[in-house]
Amino acid sequence: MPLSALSDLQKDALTELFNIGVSRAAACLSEIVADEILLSAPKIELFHPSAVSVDEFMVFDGPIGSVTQRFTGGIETEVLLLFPEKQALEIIHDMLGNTVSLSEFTEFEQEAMCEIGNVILNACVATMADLLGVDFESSMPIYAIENFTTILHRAIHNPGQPLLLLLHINMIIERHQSQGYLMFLMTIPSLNALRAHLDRFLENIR
Amino acid sequence: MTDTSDIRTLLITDDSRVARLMIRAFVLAKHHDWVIIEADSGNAALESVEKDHPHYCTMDINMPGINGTEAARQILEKYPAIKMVLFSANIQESNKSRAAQLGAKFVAKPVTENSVAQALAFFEGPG
Repeated sequence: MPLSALSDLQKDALTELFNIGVSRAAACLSEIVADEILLSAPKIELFHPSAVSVDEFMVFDGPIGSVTQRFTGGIETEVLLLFPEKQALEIIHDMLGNTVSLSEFTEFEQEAMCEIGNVILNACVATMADLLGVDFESSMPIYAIENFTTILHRAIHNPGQPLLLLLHINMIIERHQSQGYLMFLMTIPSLNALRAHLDRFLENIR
Repeated sequence: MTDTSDIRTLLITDDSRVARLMIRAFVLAKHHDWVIIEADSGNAALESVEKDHPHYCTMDINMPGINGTEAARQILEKYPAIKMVLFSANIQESNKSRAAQLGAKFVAKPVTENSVAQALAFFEGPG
């Protein structure tokens, strides 16, 4: 599938919606860690899974904490929030502060990352959905510690994933110099629906 | 001496233990004498309301089983005097509208001192 699966105008609209959604997500993360979040320019790329090179997307070495959530309804997508594991722990520490003792900290790691992921991913998707005028429902967030290659291979080799739309952006927490990564995966049927929503959005603003 | 009639009971409903823990900590920092009850699902909240008769309730939306909006609707239908805050990461306009229709307040997560203060202002406000 060529990149022309979305027209230039549709890609531009999607990039702008993604930018607004991520800005809202970054504002939430900023509230959680009480620090400024720097954002890279968002990127949109469309791939045949066979054409995806893991090396090209190797954004992190070593173990990473990933929160995955599936959104269904007007927007159908799987969204991943990735942080290097060490930095994920720092974010949890910022969020919980003195609410839990050091000895309890490990016990809360998984639930805290699910809660952080849930807040950030919902903020992004809800903002985009509202701008597109659609409703969605979300699955429970799932937290795992994996390496980036494993995550990307799973996305690529999913038989229901004949085409990958990657919307990705870096979020940098200034104080920690921590880097987070937000990635949307979409299939062809969900892309067709997205294209129709984008066209309606564009008609409304013309 | 505290007049027991002034003691308020708050039911915190959230499937995330971390969210419950943080809401509890921020509320008790302001109101150390409030009684805090926790429920980890919409169904557990419905049971708790029958048993514990809370004055206030915070309700997450996206939970396993019955969702928070439906649990809030059922609770308010039976106990309209309970002050309800839908406390959720799902900030879609449709959820804010549903909260308003129910007579509840929508407060956006994350759970922070500020967001909990918004919920407390609603609980302690007029009406």
